[in-house]
Amino acid sequence: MNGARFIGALCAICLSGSQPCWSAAPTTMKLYVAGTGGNEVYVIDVSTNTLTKTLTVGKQPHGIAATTDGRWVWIATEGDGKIHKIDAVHDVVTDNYELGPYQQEMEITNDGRRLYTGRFMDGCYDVFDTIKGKVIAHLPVDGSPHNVVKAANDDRFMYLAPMNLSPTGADSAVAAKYAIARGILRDCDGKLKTAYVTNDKIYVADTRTNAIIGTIPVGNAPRPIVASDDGKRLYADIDGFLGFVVIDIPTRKVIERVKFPLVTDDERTTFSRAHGIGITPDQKEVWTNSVNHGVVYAYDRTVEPVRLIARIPVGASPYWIAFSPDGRFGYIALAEADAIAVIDVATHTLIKTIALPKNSGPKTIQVVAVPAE
Amino acid sequence: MDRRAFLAGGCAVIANGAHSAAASADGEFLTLKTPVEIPLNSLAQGWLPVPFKARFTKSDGNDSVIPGLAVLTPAGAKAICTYCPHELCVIKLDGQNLRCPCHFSLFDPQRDGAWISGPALRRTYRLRYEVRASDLVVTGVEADLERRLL
Repeated sequence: MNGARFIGALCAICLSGSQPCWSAAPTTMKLYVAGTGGNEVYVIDVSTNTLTKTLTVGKQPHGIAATTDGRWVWIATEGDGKIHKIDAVHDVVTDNYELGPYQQEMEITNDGRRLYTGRFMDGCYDVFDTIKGKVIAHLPVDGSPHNVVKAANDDRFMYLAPMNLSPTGADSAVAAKYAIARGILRDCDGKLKTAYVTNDKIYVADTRTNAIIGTIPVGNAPRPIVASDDGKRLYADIDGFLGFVVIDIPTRKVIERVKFPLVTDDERTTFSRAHGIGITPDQKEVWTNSVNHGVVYAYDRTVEPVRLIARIPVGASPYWIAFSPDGRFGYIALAEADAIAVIDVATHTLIKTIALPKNSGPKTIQVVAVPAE
Repeated sequence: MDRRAFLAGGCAVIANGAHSAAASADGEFLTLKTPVEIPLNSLAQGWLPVPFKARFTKSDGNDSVIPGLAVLTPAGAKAICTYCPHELCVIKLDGQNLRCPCHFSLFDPQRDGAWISGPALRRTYRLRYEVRASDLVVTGVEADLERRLL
């Protein structure tokens, strides 16, 4: 994150004038898709919503982070513990670095200099210096590092959201017991752990000092999170709650718990969970998914409490969310269906499904505004 | 070694040992409100899954509907609960294995959903079923699943 938002802001300015944004700042909008089921990253041309390129990067691509200028895209591959640098203009992998196993989601500072990435089994986020090509700091946390985000207009802070080995404490304890017995759980420095502490909070890291300066309790393990561009709000999916929480960043408190309305017998009787969350580029709506119910929910975030404005059935299990910078399209990764759903943001309707190869397992997705050569 | 490989290889030992502690309710079933009857002739083609839903009442008085599939394998006709025990994503038949689309746990339908690999760490939740005349009849679901649904 988040060159796309930066370009999105430019677009809003451009569109208010006489010329469309594209003529003033030619870019190509590309949706990058981490195919966690294999070794590939898929590139979709946003202008046509078609798959245009497949890049082989490494085992089980998971995290995506793009520089603000859209020139470089970083991919974390969980299966081989590497991060890969992609030249987004030419869509070629130019470098890769081995950081240790279980790489997950990533976020990058607005100057493109520091990349924050989590090691799932080690309870550790690493700070990677993209110029030096090495890790320069560690941020130890409880639980299992998974997500990390920043506010697009305020990258002084990174918000770290470690999940747990399993959504329930009992199952996490079972997994931890055996991981410890096998010597799999380590700390930031590589020392074997003898205990696993579950996590129920979001960590606030200062990007100037690379130190954790606070936490935000959310009641259970945080899952995907998103920050508003102005750095005032966080929205988080959490384990054990079919909905999301709204967090006031300045006070570091949950100010609202938003439960999805269950309107059919099927929804009331069938388990589901919330996973995948995003804010539209105009900052007016927050979207999140009910995975097992196959529904994307859109809420008006210009008011508080937030107000439900659309339920969007997508016909499969929605998992991650991204938006095109011009605000036209919402993209939903359908891991179960090996596809990407394309939603018209203005009408909140599903307009297309882009098929990907079988067992590609699309998860994290991000639209990048890539500059011309 | 990745997280899934760890859980596949590193914890393989627990498939038959410790994991049974997590699934201590093995053998205990909650009875379905209505038995699910799957005609055997619908399973005549091997490895062609027949999806179904099963309904039971939880201890809080609310109903829960769970997904399942029936399939004819070389080991016989099987009924499998298709919730992945890890995060309750719905698993699917992929060749001769059951595969979770979320974190890629694998299960063996010929062994009634035995765990093969991945972060689920245990077998699929058991279903109680039997062949009656011309039907495969599902009558219960493993009690341990209920705690995940309350």
